[in-house]
Amino acid sequence: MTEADGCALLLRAFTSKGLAIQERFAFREDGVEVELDGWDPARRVGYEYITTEAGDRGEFTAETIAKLEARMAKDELYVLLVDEHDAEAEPVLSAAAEGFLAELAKRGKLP
Amino acid sequence: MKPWYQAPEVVQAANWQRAQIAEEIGRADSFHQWHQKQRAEIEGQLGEASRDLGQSLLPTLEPAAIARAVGLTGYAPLTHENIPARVEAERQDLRQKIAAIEADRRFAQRELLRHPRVGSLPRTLRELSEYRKPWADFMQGCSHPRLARLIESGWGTPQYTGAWWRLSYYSDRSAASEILARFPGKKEFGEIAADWARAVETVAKLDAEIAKTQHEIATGERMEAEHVRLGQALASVDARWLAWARDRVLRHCATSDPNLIAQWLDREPAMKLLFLRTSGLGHKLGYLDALFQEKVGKTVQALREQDARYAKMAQRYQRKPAPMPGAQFAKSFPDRREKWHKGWQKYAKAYDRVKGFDKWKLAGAAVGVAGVAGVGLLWWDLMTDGREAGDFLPEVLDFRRRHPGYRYARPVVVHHHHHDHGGSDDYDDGAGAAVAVADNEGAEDRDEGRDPS
Repeated sequence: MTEADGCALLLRAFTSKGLAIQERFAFREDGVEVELDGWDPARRVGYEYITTEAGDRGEFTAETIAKLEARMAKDELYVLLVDEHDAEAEPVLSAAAEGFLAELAKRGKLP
Repeated sequence: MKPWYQAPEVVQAANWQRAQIAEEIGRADSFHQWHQKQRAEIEGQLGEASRDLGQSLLPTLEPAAIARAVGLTGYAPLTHENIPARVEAERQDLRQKIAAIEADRRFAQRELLRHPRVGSLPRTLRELSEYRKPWADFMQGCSHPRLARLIESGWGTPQYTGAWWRLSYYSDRSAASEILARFPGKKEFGEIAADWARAVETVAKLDAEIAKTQHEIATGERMEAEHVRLGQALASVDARWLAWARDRVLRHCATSDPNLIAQWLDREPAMKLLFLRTSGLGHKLGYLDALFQEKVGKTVQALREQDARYAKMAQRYQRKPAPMPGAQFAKSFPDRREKWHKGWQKYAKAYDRVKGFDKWKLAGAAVGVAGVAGVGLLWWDLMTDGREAGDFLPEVLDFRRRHPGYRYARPVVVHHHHHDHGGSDDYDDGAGAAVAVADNEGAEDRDEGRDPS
């Protein structure tokens, strides 16, 4: 599955839940400067499809991911992190997106 | 002869030559097949003769029998080998090894231990397999591409290292649900993980036990096989050593000067004939091989070279047509059929002479004290009655070099008391060095050119 296909699937899934996703969003917070594949600045919900081909691994270093995850653990923001190696097939990505959005709904973070 | 021959005539002549050559090569092939058949027959006769000679020379390994064989053949190493002591030493060694195996519990209690139905080890193996089965079935039931990761990451336990915002979390969750669904009695994946840990440990222990038991069975089986092998070796110890010793004596006889051996054997005329038959058959085989190689092998090689030259010539005249002078044409395309035919006839005659020779008694008259012109036996001359030069045989050349004045003369077989049957020799004929009536073996050829030198 290509990154473009994966991002298109995620965009459909996230927007279907009423999220106002901005693609290729320049995220600049708390010393973290990355371009997220999808981001709703108001809801602070987004997704990132990490691929080697797109050069994401240089940007999403272990340190950057650790910073993002620390903030997610404190309920400050929510980014579905998809590693291309884990998302080999569409149903896998689709199920993960649904699960992630369901978790957000449970936490009252969706519109 | 025409003064000139046109290119198509040259090509036609070359092709005709090639056809004749192919026919000759075909003839050579049939000689090859014939030779193979003949040599197989002689090898059989040689094997039989060697066995007979070996049995007569060395009937047993008794010291007296060994001394007699040494006396008859001059093969002194047979005494120095101290064969009876070595036979006894091997027998003792085998007996000790057999006794050691028989004293070993793993062999002594083989039925008790390894009987397929009631033996304790096969029973243990069955029990271990039975214990293992439910654990192995459980592990098989857990089979999933993500199982190792679930166990490693601690899914279903507080130690789980994944996070809900990662895609892998949902893949883990899905895999865990799939596995859990296979075990209706279980409520949480954590229960499966705990059972899995126990199963891995139990199966590893049982597998080690099974391997140990299988090893014990295999060791015992090897011991039984070794016991059988040693038993067979013990049963055949005398026969093996006897065969070995006979082989040594026969080798000595085969590689020594037949004149010398025959002189040694003079005291036992019947044995001397057995030796001459063996030695003669061995030489016959070598001569026929050499004859075939010299007359057929080399001819075929020459024919092939000739064929290649004609093929090249035909090609050249096809590519660049030019007339050939009559004299050159005649020289290039002679009719060789008659020459070839004579060559084959000569070969076949020599071959048949050697192949057909079976007058071993005649050889007896040619060796030793009463040998030919005092120099002894040259099998080649005897077999060909001195009608073939045999210059392609190193043995013949060497013999003539060592005896410059040698001229072949047909030996004379003399009879002691009883009447000779004529034709092939009888091996029980005690004909020795007596002086009496000349045998007429091969007399029909006597006046033909005898001196090949």
